Amino acid sequence: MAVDKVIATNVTALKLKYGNKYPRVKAAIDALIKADLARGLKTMLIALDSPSEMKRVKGTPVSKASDEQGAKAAVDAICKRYRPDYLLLLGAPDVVPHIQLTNPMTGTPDDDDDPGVPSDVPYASDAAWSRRPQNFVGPTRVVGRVPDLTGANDPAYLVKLLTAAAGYTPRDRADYSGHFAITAKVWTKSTTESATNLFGPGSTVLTSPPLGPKWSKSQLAPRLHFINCHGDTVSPKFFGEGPIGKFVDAHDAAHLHSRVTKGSVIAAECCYGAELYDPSAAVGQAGIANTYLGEGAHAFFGSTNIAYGPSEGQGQADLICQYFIESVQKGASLGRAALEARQRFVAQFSHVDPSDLKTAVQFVLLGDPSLQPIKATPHAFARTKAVERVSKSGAFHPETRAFRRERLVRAGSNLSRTLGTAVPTKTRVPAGVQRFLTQAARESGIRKPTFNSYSVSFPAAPAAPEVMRLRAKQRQRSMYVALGSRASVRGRSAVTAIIVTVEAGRIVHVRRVHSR
Amino acid sequence: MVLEGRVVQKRINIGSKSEHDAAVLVAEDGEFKLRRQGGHPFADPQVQALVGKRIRANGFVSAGQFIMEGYELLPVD
Repeated sequence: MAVDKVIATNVTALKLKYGNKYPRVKAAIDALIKADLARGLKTMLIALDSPSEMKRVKGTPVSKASDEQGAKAAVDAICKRYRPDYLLLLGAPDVVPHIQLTNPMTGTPDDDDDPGVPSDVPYASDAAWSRRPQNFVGPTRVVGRVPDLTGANDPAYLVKLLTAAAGYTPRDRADYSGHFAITAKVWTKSTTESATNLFGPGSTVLTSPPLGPKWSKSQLAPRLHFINCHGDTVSPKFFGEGPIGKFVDAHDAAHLHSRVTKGSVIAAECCYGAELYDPSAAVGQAGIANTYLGEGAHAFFGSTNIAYGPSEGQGQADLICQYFIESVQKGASLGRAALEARQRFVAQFSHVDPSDLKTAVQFVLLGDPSLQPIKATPHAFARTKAVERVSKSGAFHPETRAFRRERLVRAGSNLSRTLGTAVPTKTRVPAGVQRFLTQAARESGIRKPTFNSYSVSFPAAPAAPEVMRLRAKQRQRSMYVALGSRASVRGRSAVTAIIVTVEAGRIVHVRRVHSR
Repeated sequence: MVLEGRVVQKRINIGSKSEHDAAVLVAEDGEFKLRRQGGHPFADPQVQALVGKRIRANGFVSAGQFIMEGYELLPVD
């Protein structure tokens, strides 16, 4: 039987949370499946913990909700059997776990203390189970998560989200004109560039300070939100900064009630923006992502932990969030927008450094991946009598979505086979490179630089001949970094890195990056 | 869980969007950015006032941070 969309969840875990109220969740899921059918999508609920349902897909049922490897294997079996166009993970991480990937920043000079990277990207990838983020740089599946509240025992929130998804209709492009963009003041230049790219020159960017967090309903009214502020674990707020080192409240989950327009789509660069923490850990206040969804937003695209991006110019979180909103603006479904954002982000590199790799796997889509916020504009040809006639006759079976999926699978597969990743090593920095880095560090004002080495590792899988010809050069590629703080800038020291790429003993690329 | 140790000021998450100066609890189990439950994650005067002091605190760990539900001051060594 052809299945367009799979809702994957752990029913045992849901029943443990909600007890005799679980039937309300089941009824809401059934209503969503019915609503999907009415709009042409065949949707199937599959319980990852059900022996009979997993047997049908030649998979193994997960034994406990925290079993990450089991959940990944179960999802892979489902996708192998049905090849759904959309995969909806239903539940918070205490129902369907994030996969804890190794933090690629650990052991680097910029070690950021995150013990791992909670990610949904492995569910979006055909690659086998692993905790290595390098293995998941080429996702191919359209995936989103509709989360309940971590640790909840009342299903009202989850039922509300499912009901909203069942009742959604795509809107006209005009309903998504306008935007709400906020930034930490210290990142104004970067966010202004993002807003210009997304919403046009002169787009308003609200800075914190001095503004926020009590945004008015009219400020929050536009359906596209782009947020570039600080965030933290177990925090229902985002924070502005200005001057450097002075943090203020910029956005507050407690202030969103009845102020969010139904159907809003949010992209947030903030650290921990999409963290699905247990509200009891924050004195009962759910996070901003959960709150937006509970107030009727279609989607929240954000990071599960510490994110990266420059204060000026564009990089990492700026880009992946922009790419997501751009795809939504062009009429993509939420899940396709998330997949295109991930693919587009890594596709710009010949190899990803640790912070880019972390960016690629830490951003998750919270929302039903099959929702298409903005109606696609059909071609005039589609409205001709000839096309209408052949459509009515049943002889025409549009495969447009299938063609898009083919393109996405091709793109993800190519990335998996060809993209390199930088991995810390203990090899000595070559003498000539050391001399260059020392001089460059001195000229850049870096005090007491540390020097570190990386190998650039490329997949070993066979590839097209022209790619195989590149491999000989790529095998000799390595990176070396001089890192240190500059003299005090505006009252605090800033960190600068000189990054050198070496091939066959020659420096082939140099780059200088600064911390925010 | 209960952790005990000295609170120091330290620059953390260098190079990331979360780079900032933070109060860090140096305990036997490791070093943790120190926060108060319900307190400001970046600018909590009560936590800042603990820098230089030794504390015993009960709370929980989230993403490498120790979020205190309560604490007591200990004599400085």
